[in-house]
Amino acid sequence: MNRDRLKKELTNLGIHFVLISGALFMVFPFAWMILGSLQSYSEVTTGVFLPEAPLWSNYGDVILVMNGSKPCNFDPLNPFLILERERGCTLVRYFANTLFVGFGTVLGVLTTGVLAGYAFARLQFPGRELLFKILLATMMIPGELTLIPNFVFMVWFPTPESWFATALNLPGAEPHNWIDTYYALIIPWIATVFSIFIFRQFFRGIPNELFDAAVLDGATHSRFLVSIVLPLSKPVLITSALLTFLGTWNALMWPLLVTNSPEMRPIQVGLRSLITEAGTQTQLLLAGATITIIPIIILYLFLQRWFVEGISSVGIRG
Amino acid sequence: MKSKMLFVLTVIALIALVACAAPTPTPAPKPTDAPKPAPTTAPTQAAQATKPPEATKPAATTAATKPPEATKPTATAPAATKPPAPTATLRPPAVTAAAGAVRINVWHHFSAPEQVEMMQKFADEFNAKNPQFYVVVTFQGTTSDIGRKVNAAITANAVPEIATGNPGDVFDWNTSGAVVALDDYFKDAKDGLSADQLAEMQMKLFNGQELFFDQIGGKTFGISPGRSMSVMYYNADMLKAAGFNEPPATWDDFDKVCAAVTKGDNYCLAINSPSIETSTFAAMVFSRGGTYASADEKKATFDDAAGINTLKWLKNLVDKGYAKNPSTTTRGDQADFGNGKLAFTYGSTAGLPFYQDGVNGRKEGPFQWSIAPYPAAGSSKPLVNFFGPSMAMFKTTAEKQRGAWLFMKHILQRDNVVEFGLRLSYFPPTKSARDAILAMDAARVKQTNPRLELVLPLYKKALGYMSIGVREPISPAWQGARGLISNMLTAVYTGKTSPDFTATDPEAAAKEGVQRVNKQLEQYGK
Repeated sequence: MNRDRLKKELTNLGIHFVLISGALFMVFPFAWMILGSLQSYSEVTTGVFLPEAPLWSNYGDVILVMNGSKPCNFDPLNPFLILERERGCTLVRYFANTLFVGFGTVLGVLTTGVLAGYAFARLQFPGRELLFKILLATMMIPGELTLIPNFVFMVWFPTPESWFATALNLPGAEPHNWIDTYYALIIPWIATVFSIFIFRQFFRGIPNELFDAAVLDGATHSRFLVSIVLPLSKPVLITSALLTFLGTWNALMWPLLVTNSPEMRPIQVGLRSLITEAGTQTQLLLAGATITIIPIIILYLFLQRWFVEGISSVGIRG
Repeated sequence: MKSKMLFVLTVIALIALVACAAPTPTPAPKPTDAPKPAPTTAPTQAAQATKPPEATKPAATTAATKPPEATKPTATAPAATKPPAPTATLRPPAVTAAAGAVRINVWHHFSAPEQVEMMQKFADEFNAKNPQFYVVVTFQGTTSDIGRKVNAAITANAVPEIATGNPGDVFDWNTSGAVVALDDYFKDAKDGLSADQLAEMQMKLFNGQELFFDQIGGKTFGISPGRSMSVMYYNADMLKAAGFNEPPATWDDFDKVCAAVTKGDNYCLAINSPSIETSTFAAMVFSRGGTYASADEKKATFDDAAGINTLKWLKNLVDKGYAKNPSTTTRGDQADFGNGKLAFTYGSTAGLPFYQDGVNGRKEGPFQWSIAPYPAAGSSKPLVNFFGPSMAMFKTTAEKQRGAWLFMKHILQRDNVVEFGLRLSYFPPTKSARDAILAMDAARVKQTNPRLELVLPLYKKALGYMSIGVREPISPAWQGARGLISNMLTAVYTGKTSPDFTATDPEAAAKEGVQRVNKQLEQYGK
């Protein structure tokens, strides 16, 4: 082996060592969570890493506890009835709510993010830069500060259907606010500065020549956006969607604030039932947490190529 | 791509099926069955609980004089490592709202399924008996979560009719003018409490505070369906091995035990929260004869000998290695205690089942453990420190407030406070309810809370401490002072100064702590 090759091999080895160490460091919390979910209460509270005998029953227990310690009544002939409260399948309902709110929010964020990002990137209008800076400045406001004002809006706003019914004087109509509705869970989060920012950054990278060529062919801004920009923006669309979905999936405080009934609550609020003031059955909590991240992991596995591309193309670092 | 999506959908469907896996699939009651009210078909335990206490049964104080033995270790079989699963159900209300019924929203923090079920049962019973009202009970997160949510709701003028919270939260809500004083409801000729019940619930502590009523300026803003208490948990086997057959009754004895038990991995006292924190510090000051605060709660007084001695004691234990932070983070004291490494920790009796889980799951096998009051010094007597939630009623309409009060009154019925006590390992506000629990055997308790069954002797033992309890200042101004006292404790036992606290010497720290707290108390409300 010549000297150059040896040097190259050693460099590679060093790089791999650093990368593998980093990867292990990142994976460790997940490994601990999964291994902890298979331990007894005693093992998990003493920081044992490997369970002596894996307790797979923890998963059954946590599902049972989150379902209200009662078997879920699933009817294969009417699968959608599983979402009814009477069926006692609360965990499924939590998942369904989380998915619905997640997809609804993603749709909203992509719509507003694309339109606003495009406007900030390619349209010329007075005060554009100032407005963008003001938008960016709002990212500095801690989310906790806006909780109460947002909650107040949720109480003040009538739901569209109740508003129309009241306006039309329909029998039995009365205004109903957004509390305990999907409106409160989705609408306040369908426009985020972060998404607008990453779309703007990405759209600014699209060569002007493409736009000029499109204009020569008679395209308007909307046509250019739909036919040329969006097909080129798959990575940033997926990145924004995934990050938004992840944020929605992990949300706890807001859903807890604006929902009152179990039928409207997402999975993270469901996990709350495993924590009591006197103590926590940590092994069950970890089993619950493991169950809740499975959909996210599956989603990431299928979308990781675009996700990585999107992250690198807009210059975001974790 | 299509096949990948199909795979994703299949996995999601599988998760859904697993999520509703039924160990013993039994059909849920049909929705049409639901409206049948529960009260007339009350479970057998309720019937048993309604039995009048036997005259010859010992009262709570008697139990204190004859404490049950330390919890005996149970078999080390693997089954012992698995705590009994909760037996309750999350279910829809059993009673539907009658036409025109006034809705009463109740926000609570009782998270465990069996506790959620208890609240639903109370609501069902009430709704069946009072069709003009319709109570809707909903879990709203921890007491901190409820605190935030109620504050938001007050701002938005969208308060519930009732919310549970710590007494400090209740007073905070009252500061916003949102809470109703309950005294007129207590005394109402038609809907009030009976004179007997009121008399039973009035339990004054030595500093003049009522235990089950949260009062300010002679008015009651919160009422508690049950309190828990902070007690001293101890490893009886570890003490016995070191030559001590009884837990220490004085702080001097405590130091002697610490010196004897601290060996190798074993140590004497956990200093994480909740073992050592603001509330336990208050109890330790009281138990040394200190006053902690002035009678009107407007001044802190823990810079007296009792306060300084408490801090010196803590620093001494840490310096000698007798007291330290547990090996794991939150609830690490429960973990170290369960593993037989820790001799003493202070915590709520609500944690009894969790300590039991830890001890029973110990790899080397369980050991004998028990609880005792805080030791004392000088002429003071051992004591315990009371905690626990209260219920507050919010200003809405006269009709809603009446409905809310009637529901509170319903919860305060003897059978219900017994159930509340058993489900949460709390202590009921009336003597008759406590006596009913003392008369129960393990099998009966298991029906309501299987996790309490194994620690029933200790729960009953703690019931005997009702007469030796204290309560730290609960006025709202003191809520903000808790963090300052916590900073003081950390500065003393770590010996490190910070921008939040500069003194580390116990005497200087007590003085700085009092100064900071008094400043906070003075500024409150300005």
